[in-house]
This record gives sequence, structure tokens and C-alpha cells, in this order.
Amino acid sequence: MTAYISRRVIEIFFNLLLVSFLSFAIMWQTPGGPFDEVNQPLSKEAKANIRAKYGLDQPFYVIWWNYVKNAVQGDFGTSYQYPKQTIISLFQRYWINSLILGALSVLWSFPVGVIAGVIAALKRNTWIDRTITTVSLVGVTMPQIALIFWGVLIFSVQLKWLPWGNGRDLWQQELRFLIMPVFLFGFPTVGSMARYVRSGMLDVMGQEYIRTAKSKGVAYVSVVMKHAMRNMMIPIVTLFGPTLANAFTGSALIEVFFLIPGIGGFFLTAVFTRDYPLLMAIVLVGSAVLSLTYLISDVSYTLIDPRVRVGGGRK
Amino acid sequence: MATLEIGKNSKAATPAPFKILTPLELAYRRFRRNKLGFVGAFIVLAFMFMSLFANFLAPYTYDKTNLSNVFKRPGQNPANVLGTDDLGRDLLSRLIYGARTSFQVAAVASLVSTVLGMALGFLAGWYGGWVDLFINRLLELVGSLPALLFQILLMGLLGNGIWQVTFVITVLSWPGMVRLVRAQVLAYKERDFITASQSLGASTASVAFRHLLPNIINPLIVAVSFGVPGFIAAEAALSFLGYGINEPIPSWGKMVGKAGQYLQNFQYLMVLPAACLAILVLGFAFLGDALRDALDPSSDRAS
Repeated sequence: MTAYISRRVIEIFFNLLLVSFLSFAIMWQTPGGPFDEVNQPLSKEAKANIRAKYGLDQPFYVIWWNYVKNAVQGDFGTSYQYPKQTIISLFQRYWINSLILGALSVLWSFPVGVIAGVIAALKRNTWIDRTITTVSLVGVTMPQIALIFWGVLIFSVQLKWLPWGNGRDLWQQELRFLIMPVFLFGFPTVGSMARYVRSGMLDVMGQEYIRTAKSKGVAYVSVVMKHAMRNMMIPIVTLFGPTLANAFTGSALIEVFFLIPGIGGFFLTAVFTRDYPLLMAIVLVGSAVLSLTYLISDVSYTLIDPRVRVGGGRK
Repeated sequence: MATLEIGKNSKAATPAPFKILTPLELAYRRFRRNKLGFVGAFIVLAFMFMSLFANFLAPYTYDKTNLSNVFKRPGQNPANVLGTDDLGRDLLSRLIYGARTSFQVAAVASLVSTVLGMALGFLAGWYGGWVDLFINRLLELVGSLPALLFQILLMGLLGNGIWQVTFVITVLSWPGMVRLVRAQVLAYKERDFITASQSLGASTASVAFRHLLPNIINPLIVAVSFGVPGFIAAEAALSFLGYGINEPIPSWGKMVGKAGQYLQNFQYLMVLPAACLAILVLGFAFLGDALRDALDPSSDRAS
């Protein structure tokens, strides 16, 4: 197990190296630069000075390698737009909003999704089941911008129940403000969770050991909760990885629409201002978080299901 | 009936002895039972028709501005059935051409990801070893990229435009397909009919296309149908954020984004493209659901 985890961590590290090279190359090739040619034109010498100060006069791979060396030590360079702050501190400033949003969404969407899936499976082929499966299909496939839009239009503009957004941090907002972003962020998760759980439950409920348990007179609730639910952990864990990663990287669309100062919206401003160090850091950290959550869910499989062997080369 | 059941259980003998249904007919029968599937198919076909014949269907061109005729609400001006936008462009025409944008992106992305997925998935599953290892590394690389962020980065490099959007969406679209095909190939690789045709001297290509493909095509069709909403949503999201299609070519996502500033007063500008987006995506979802019930034998248990 330890060997497996350490192998995976090394793999993740090399993967991140590749990701950093890829995004570094993309940004290197992207037209435009950090200088404001219109409002603050600088002389050639001044520009050369600034380039030298930030080490931009060296060849591409040297800059990249230096970057990687520093990044490993937690130094992601200096943001062009916010030179006074370290990138880590910028992260802390903006990420906290994304994290709150993500955590609150997971908190409601996971249990609701599981419960909806279980109910749909138990009430199979009734109108309850059909309603749940259809609603979750909508949740899974509906583009986020359409969802956001309908939410804002109905509840903020038409009914004026919920405020829309004022750019303040989440903990300074009134509670009502949180309802819509948290709901919209979690809704797709509810959908996919309910569908996963439903089909998994149906699989399990058809198994021999469930019939055996039933015929031995085990109470129905107990059959479902003890025997079926344990087998449901696999799909739940499978979904947990991507959802957690989502919660970490935030939803750029929701943050932009509701004016939440989170990491996703921050990324967009960084793209507009061509703030390469910041962009690199966000992509890299996002990628690291994604890889780590996959690792966590892979390891959790073995904890839940002893049949899943890990590290044997095949899964 | 009883005489027909010799040596068989009753279930196997139920298909009427008079007419033997082909798998396709069986699939159609199952599909027909699903009303939502029919609705989905109808929506998808209607929008497809709209995007193919946009030139004939749209009353105006998508970029014809008329500054003396701006912000006309639907029905307010008989010449513009669904009204006009902030530049006096006919909204109906722009919605129809917007369908073309969505379909163009989705079609290319689906095609490329399917072909690539089939090729790489087959290579990984069939040959195993270092080929499998290498392809798995690639999958892990692409899978670990934060999709929207990375797409925006790429758009910064390539600049806006429909082919650029199509490219950045396609680049990240294929891992799911590879995984699906690989798993299917692994499941069938050791089966007797494959070994048999190989021992009879069939070439790898012949095994792949004549024996493997017919067996794995159904889940692939379902996956494509479920993948399309993702592509449409990705294009809409990028365009919404300003990293997608350039003016004046219409895109539903961009129309929603641009109309945001008029949300208080001219809601139809946003309602209509958002509704188109929602309807088309739901159409694909319902279609995919019905197709899976119809084509995927493993989902028989649900009936």
C-alpha cells in the first residue's frame, strides 16, 4: 500500500511537471505581454531592465526550470499585477471564497443525491422514480450558464427574493445570498449522484444475498441500509474525487455571475491582464488538487472493498 | 406454446415463433416505449434541420444591423417575430444561426473524440504493455488539467474564433472515449469468437472492424449522445466568458453573456438563447437515455 501510494505520488509529480511545461509553453507563445503600451509606454531600456529583473531575458526552458524549482518550494514567483503580495497570499485571499462555496455545495448535494438515488431505486418505475431520474438528468446535462441564468432571472430579477451579487466576500454576505450559488453549484452533483446510486442500488437489490437476507426475515430497512448501502460506497467514492476537485477549483461561471471574489473569477482577470505567474500557479495547483483527489478516491476503494487490489498493476 | 418449450425455459421461447426480430428491431421496440426519448429525438432532429438549412430558414442574415430598430420585443414588430437585439439584429435569425455554431462545435468534437477514442482505446486495450502504459499516461495528463481554466489559457494563445473553440474543446474531449473503448476491448479480447477468427488467420484490422466494433458500437453511440451536451455547454461557457466565438457570428452562450447587462429591462434577449440552449441539451440527454435503454443490453434489468 505504501509502495503504491509513493509510486502514485511520483507519477503525479511527473504529471505536474508535464502540465507545468505545457501551460508554460502555451503562455510563452501567447501574444501580448505584461507591459501597458497605451497608458504607460516605457522606453526600450526600461523594458529590458524589467525583463531582466523578472528573468524574462533567458531562454524558455531555463525560465521554466527555474520556475519549477521555486514552485516546489512554494514560491510561485511574483504576480505582475500584484507585485507586493506573494502568490500564496493571493491564493489564500481568493481561494477561501471558492472553498466555502464548494464545501457548502458538497455538504448539501451529496446527502441529497444519495437519498434521492436510494428512494428512486426503492420506488422503481413509479412516478417518484421517474421524477427523480428526469430531474437528475436535467441536473447532469443542463449547461451551467443556462441553470445560473434561470435561477437569477426567476429568483432575483422577477421575484426579487434573493440578492444577486455585490462583490463582497462570502462571509460578509447575508445568508440569503448564499442560497442560489450554493444550490446551483451542487445541483449537477445531486443529479449524477442520484443516477449513480440508483443504478447501483438496482444492481445490488437484484443480488442473491439480498434475497437471502430478505427471506431470512431481516427487516427491509436493515437490508437496504446494511447490505445495499455498503456496496453503494464505490460509486459514491468515484464521484467524490471529481466533486471535491470541483469544489477546490471553484466554478468560474458562478463566481463571475454572482460577483464572488473566488479563484475562478480571479483566474479570468489574470487571463485578461496576462498575469502569467498567477495563471501558472492557478492551473498547476488546480491540476495538483485534481490528481490528489483521484489518488484519494483510488485509495479509498481498497478501504471499502477488499476485492479491489491496488498496486498489482491491474485494477 | 407448450410444445415449443422443449428443452428451454419459457423465457427464452417468448419471442414469437413466427417472426424473429433483429437486434435493431428489438432496439427500436425498446426505444419506442420511451416517450421522452421520442421528444428528445424530435428536438435534436429539429435543431439539426434548423442549423443545416439556416440560410433558407432565417428571415435575415445573422449580422444585418438596423440601428433604427433596436430592442424590439418579441411580437412588437411583425417583421421580427422574436424581436431584435441591441444592434437591431433579428433575434430569430441569430438563434437559428446559433444552432449552427453549437452543432458545428459539437459535431467536430464528437467525431474527433470518437475516432481518437476508438483508435487509442483499441491500441491500449489490444496491445497492452508499454502502449497501454503510454496511453494511460496521456489520459492522466489530460484528465488532471482543470478543463475550463486550461481551455481559457489555450484560447488566449489561439485567439477567438469558431475553429479555435472547437479545437480547445476537442483537445480535452477524448479521454472518456478512450477509457470506454479500452475497457470494452479488454472485455472482448479473450473471448472465444475473437480467438477463433484470429486462429483462422484474420488480420488484426479485420478482427477490430468485423468482430470487435459491432460488439462495442452500442455503448459508443450512447456515449456520443451523452457527450454532445457537454460540448455544447463548453462552447456556450467559453463564449459566455468572452473566450469563444467572435462577433458577429452568433453563439447562444455569447448571446446570454452579452444580454446580461440588459437583464433588468430586456429579459427576452437572454431568455430566448438560454431556452434554446436548455432545450437542445435536454433533447440530447433524453435521446441518450432512451438510446441506452434501447441499445445497451446490460440495462435490460431496468425494464
